[in-house]
Amino acid sequence: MNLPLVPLALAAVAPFTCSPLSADWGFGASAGMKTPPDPPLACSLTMPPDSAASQRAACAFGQGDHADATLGLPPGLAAQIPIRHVIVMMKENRSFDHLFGRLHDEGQPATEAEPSTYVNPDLDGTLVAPFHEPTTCVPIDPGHQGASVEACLAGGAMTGFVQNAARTTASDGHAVMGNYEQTDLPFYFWLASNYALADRHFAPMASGTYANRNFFLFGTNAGVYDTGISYPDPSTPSILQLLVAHGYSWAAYSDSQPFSGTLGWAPGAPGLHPFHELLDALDQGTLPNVAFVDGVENVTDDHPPADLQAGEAWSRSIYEHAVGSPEWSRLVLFWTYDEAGGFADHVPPPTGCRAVPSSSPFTQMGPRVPLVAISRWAKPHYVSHVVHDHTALTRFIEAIFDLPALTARDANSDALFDLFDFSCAQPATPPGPAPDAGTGGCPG
Amino acid sequence: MLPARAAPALLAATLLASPALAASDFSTAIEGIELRPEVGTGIYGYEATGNVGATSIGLRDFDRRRILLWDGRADLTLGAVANEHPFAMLYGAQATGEAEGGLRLSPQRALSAYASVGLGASLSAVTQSGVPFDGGATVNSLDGLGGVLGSADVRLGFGGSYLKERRSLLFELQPLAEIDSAEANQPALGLFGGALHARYDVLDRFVALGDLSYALAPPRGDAALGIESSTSRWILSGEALQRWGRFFLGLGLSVSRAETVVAYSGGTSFPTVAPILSRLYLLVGFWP
Repeated sequence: MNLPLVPLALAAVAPFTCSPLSADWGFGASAGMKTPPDPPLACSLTMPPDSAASQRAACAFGQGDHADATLGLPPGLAAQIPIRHVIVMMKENRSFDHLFGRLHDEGQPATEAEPSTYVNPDLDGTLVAPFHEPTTCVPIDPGHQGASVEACLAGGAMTGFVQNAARTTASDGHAVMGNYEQTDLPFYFWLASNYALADRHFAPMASGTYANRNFFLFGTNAGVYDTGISYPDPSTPSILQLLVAHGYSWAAYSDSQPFSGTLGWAPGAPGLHPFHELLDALDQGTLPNVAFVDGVENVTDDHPPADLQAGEAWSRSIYEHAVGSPEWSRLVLFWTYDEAGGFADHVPPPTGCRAVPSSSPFTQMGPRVPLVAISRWAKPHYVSHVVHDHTALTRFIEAIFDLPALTARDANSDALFDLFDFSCAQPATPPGPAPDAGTGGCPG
Repeated sequence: MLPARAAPALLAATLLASPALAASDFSTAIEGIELRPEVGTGIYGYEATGNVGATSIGLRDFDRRRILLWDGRADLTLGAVANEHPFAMLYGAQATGEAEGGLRLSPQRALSAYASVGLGASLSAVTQSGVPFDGGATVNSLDGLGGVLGSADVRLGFGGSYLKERRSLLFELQPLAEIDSAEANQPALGLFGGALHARYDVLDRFVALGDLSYALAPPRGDAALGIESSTSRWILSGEALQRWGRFFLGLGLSVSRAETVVAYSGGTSFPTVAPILSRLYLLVGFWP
């Protein structure tokens, strides 16, 4: 027998014994990142009117463009913004109407209420109107990958959520029309009412977790459509690379998978830290320039069937450490959701610019998600109606650290400055006291 | 350990000492209809496909001086990729082929110095149900597996040929140049490098070949971000086929990995390594 089957078989098995799907993102250099000292605090900054909005709407800007040019700011102005530490708390799978459809009547009248006339047909044709969600631990996880979200949008009618949920779960799908009251989520309602809320913030792509988080990190979906198959090529330029390459620090904090598994990183990789180290960094004033924090999957990340009140309490712990931090005047905590998770929202999402030079053809955004800017510099009790998606978070980071745009998508995005007032009129102390997280919403 | 400068002298002595042989052509081929189940990994996760097609692998010498060898395959493909969720069904067609022409410098000796020129090409069109073949950017990246992909390479070979009545062994060092087409999430690449290549044929019965290559792509600049990216790639592959009458059986393996160093103008660089692209397949065939 001439076949060298045994050596060949052994050679074949070898690559499968060392996690063949693992990639090395090359962030070894991040282990030695130093956070540059914050420049002296100044509060006399006045942002000029946004004179480049029409150019951005026409997708006139491209990869490499700096925020000064794309936002119509005098050169160097954005880098004078007092915020030098950005915390991105991107939670999972809740639409704006699902969380805050009643906020208009319960704390923030400046935001648009979910219309009582907004209905979705179920599979029997019965029209389902918004209703008070009886539990904070919704037991279903509606389909929310590309095909499902497309079905939910129903060509812009926003009437496919219930049928999609019914087809993708063992339920009638009615739960996706449910929404919450202040008594269910008192801390979340308080944050959205007391700080700066964006009520026209959309998921950047009509799909699931990986694609939407990729837009935030890479300015493109980076070859990923549905969650679970394929990761971005690790050489794809990212906001993480840009920060390190330009001398700024970042860290990801999670007791679960950072970025909800989007990059396939294993615990222990460079830049990854347990959650408690974020609280320690806040207490000690040792925050990196950008901190990404993720809750535990299906427990504190708000991904159904997680109890929202558990996620609310977890978020409150970050908030309490943030307002007590010696860096409170130098930080912003952005609270948002990666995508709507199949929960209904009545506002048709717009399209964004193509992510040139990426080959990504995706321009259709997904349903609205909440975004709240929590900072000494966030406008109090404010609601912004400016349209943007997660690449606006990317653009905010690029703006304050003077980094180039990753793609045309973030280059042509707004940078959320509408949510802020960097003048000395802003109160130095936070509003308070914050209410406790809700309890008892998830009986049994 | 012999000093490096002694190697050429040792090779020459070996060639001179090898026995002279009478001229007789060596010609062998294993070919026919094949069924080839395959599993593998890539940036997309795991793949499993069934392939049906035809294969032909063979070697022929002419007057013990000139050698022609070939290895070609064309398949229809049906399968799936999967990682966590959801599964994606695949279908398409693939064809690969390579041919090499070589010269035995001492034709009458069993062991001869050998020089060759080889050309290779591959073309595949694989997609998911409901997705156009050129629609790779509209779905999860199947880079390395899906889409309309092509590659071509040219190799020069220098080494030895051991040839007797029923056996042939070729071992070569091969400088190579290769062009790979763009993929959904990867640019087109030109690669330059080298390979260690060996092939063993038993007359009309058995073929085994192995290849280890390493190649580099010239740095690509991205002026907008101040980046220069340099990609290197290694591939280890092997295949063995045994024939019994009209039937044959084979096993093949290919493992490759690419590393791209992304260097920013400020001096920071990120040595990134992609997931392993691997293929393991069984080959069952017959001559109708």
